[in-house]
Amino acid sequence: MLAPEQNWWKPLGRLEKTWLTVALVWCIFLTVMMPLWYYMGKQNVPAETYRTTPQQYAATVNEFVAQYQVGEENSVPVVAPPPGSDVYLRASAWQWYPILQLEKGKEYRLHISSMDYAHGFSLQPVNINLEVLPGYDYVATITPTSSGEFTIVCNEYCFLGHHTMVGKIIVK
Amino acid sequence: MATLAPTFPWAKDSKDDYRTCPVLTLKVDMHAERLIIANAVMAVVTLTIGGIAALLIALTRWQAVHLLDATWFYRLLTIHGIDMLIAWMVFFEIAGLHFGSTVLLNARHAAPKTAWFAFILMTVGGLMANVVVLIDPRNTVAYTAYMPLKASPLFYLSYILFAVGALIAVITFFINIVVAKREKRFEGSLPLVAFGFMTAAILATYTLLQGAAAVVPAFLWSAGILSNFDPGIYRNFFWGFGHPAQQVNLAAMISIWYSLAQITVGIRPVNEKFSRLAFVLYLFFINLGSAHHLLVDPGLSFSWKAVNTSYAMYLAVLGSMMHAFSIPAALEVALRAKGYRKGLFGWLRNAPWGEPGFAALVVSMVMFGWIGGVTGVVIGTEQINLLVHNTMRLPGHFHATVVSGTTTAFMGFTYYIIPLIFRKELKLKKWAVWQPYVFGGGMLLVSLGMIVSGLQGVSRRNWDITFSGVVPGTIELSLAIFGIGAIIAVIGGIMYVAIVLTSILTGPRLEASKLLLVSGDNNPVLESTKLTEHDLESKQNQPKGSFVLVIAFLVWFAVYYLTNWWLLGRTWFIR
Amino acid sequence: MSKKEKQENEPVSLGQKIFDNIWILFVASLLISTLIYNVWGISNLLSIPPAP
Repeated sequence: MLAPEQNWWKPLGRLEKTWLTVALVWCIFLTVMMPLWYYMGKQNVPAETYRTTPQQYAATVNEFVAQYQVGEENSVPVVAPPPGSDVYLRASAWQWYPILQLEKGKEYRLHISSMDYAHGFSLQPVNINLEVLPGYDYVATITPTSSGEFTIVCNEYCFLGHHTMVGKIIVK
Repeated sequence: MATLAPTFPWAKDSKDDYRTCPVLTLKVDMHAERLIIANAVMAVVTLTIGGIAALLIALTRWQAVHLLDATWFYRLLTIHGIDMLIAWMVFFEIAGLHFGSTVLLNARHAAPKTAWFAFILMTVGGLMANVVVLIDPRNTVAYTAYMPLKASPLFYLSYILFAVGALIAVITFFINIVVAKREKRFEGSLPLVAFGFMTAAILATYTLLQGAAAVVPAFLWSAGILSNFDPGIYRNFFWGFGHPAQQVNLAAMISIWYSLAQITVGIRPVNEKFSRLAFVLYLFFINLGSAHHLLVDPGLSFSWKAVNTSYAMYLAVLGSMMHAFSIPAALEVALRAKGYRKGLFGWLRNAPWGEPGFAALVVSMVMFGWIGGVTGVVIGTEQINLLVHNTMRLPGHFHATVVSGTTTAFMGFTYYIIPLIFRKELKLKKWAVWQPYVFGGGMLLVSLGMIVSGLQGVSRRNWDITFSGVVPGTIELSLAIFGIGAIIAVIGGIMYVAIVLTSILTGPRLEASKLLLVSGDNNPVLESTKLTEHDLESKQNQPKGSFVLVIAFLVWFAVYYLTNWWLLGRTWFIR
Repeated sequence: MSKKEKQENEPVSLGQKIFDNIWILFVASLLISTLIYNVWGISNLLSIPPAP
C-alpha cells in the first residue's frame, strides 16, 4: 500500500535467487514431461478429428451396427467389430449407442460424436474422459488393457436426463 | 459520540469531496467510498444467494441425503455458478478496483457517473440472470451454457449486461490512474498493491472481451438471428473468459494478501522487483491457461494444448511460486525485526493468529497453494487431464482456489473495509476471529471429499451418480465428507454475512480509530515505515523459515504430480 | 550525498521503466493471449478435415 522507493529495481537477495532457480528448474521439468510422455507414454490425448454432421455420423453408425451386430441389451445393439477396425459410438441426449464388445489387448479406432449437445465420455472404472461435440468426429485409438464390463457415464451436463445417460463397453 | 471526518473539495471550484482517513492518512474520495460500498454490498448479496444454493446442492450430491429433485438441483447448480464465479467475485473486485485507483493513490475518482452506470448494468444483469434461471426451465444450462444447449435470449442478455457493466467499471480504473498520474497525486511507481490491482484490471479487460465473443453470438443464435455457431469456437471464447476470470481473482487475491500482511503485521515487500516480476509473468502468460478446459476436446493439436496449458513453460506458475515465497518472507522479516527470532519458526508462532485478517491470509494462502495450486497444475497437465476432465476432481480443485483461497481472503479484507470505508464499527469481533478457520476447515473437507470422489470416477454436475451402477461403495464416504464440509463452510459463510450485516446495519457511523480489529492499538502500516534498510537486510532477519516452507511445498507438489503420472500409466492405452 | 539522495539521482533502470508503463504491459498481455490461445486454437479448429 505504501509508495515504493524511487529506484526499486534492485538485485535479488540470496534466498530469493535460490528459490527462483529451484522453482524455474521445476517449471522446466513440468514443461518437458508432456512432450516426453507424448513420445514415450502409452496414454496420450487423441488429436485425430474429422468434421461431420449429425446426419452423416448417424448413417455411419447405423452401417457399422448393421455390419457387426451380435446381440442386444435393453434394446441397444451389442456390436463386436474386428480388432484394428474403425469403431463408432454415438452420444445423444440421453443414450450411448451402441454397446461395443471389444477384445483385451487389441487396438481399435474409436470414433465418438454427438447428435445434439456437448456430452462427456467418461469410462468407468478406467476413468478415461473425453469431450464429445456435435459436428466433430473424435477418433481415439484405444487398447483395452483390462477385461470385463465397463460403464460410460456422461459427464458433460446435457439437460435434465443427464445423469441417466449411461452406456456400456464389454471387453472379453 | 464521535463525529465523522470533515470533507474537503479536491480543487477550489470542485464539486467532488474527499475526507482524510484518520488511521492511514490516505485521502478517500467520497464518490469512491460510495462506489466501494455499493459494489461490496452487491457482492455480499450475490454471495448469500449463491451460498444458499451451495448448501442445497451439496446436500443433494451427498448421496445419503439427496435433498433436491433433479430439476431443482441442476437449476440451483446453474445459479450457484453464476452467483459465485461471476457475480460475487466480480462485484468484490470492482469494489477493489475503485479502492485501488483512488484511495491507495490519494487520488480522486475521475469518472464517478460512468462508474455508477457500470454498477447499475452489473446489478441489473446479475439479478436478471438469477430471475431468468429461477423462473424459466429453459435456462437450466449451467453457468457455462455450452452451445448447442439453448437458453432464452434474456439469459445471454443478462450475462452481456453484467459483462459490459464490469468492463466499463474496469475502464474507469484506468481513467483514474491516468488522471492521478497527470495530477501528480502520487510520485514514482504505483504502490505494489495498486500494481497488483492493475494486473487484475488488465486481465479483466481480456476476460470480458472474450466473454463478449462467446456470449454475443450465443445470444444472436438464441434469438434466431444467427443460424449456427461452432461449439468448439464457443468453448474457446467461453474459456477465454472463464479461466482468465479466475486469474483476475488470483491477481486481486494476491494484492489483498499483500494488503492483509501489511495491515496485520506491517510488512514491506522484500524485493519490489521480485514481486512485480511475478505480476508481469501473470500478465504475459496466465490467460493461456484457458486451455485447461479444452485438453480433451476434439480438433486441437498436442502442441497447442501443451504450450497453452503450461502457461508458456509454466512461467505464470513461476509467478505464483514467487509470491508464495515473497509474502511469507516479508512476514518473517517484519516479525523477526520485531524480535521474534527464535529458531526457524519462532516468528510464525508469534504471528497475530487471532487477528481476523491474518487468519484469513494464512487460510487463504495455505489452501490456495497447497491444494488449489498443486491440483490445478497437475490436472492441467495435458495427458493427466484424461483422468480428470469433468470428474469431481475439477470442482475439488477450483473450490480450493476460488473459495478457500480467494473468497476467504476477500472475507478477511471485508472486516477492515467496514471500519475504514463503511465507517462502522465491526461487530461480532469474536466471530470474525474464528470465521476464517471455520470456513477454511469446512472447505478443506469439501475439496478433499470432491477430489477423492473424482479419483473414483464420480462425475461433476451429476444429480445422482448411482444411476451409473458402477461407483464403489467408498464414494458414500467421500461424498459424506464433502457434504459435512459443505455444512461447516456454510456456517462459516453465515458467520461472515452475519458479521457484515450486523456491522453495517446497526450502530452509528464513526471514524475508525485504529487499524487492527482485535490484536492491539498499534498501527502496523505506520510501524513498517520505520523498518530500515538494516532491518530488511540484517542476517538474523532473513526469511529462512519461509524458505523451508516453500521447499516443503515443492516436495508435496512433486509427490502429487508424479503420483498422477503413475495413475495414468495404469490405465488403457489411448492416443 | 546520502545513499537515498544518490539513489534518487540515478536514472530509473529500463526494467523498471517497462514495468511502470501500463500501456506496454496492457498491449503485450492482450496480444500474447489473443495470438497464442485464441488465434492458434481457432485456426486448429478451422483446419479440421472433413470425414472421409
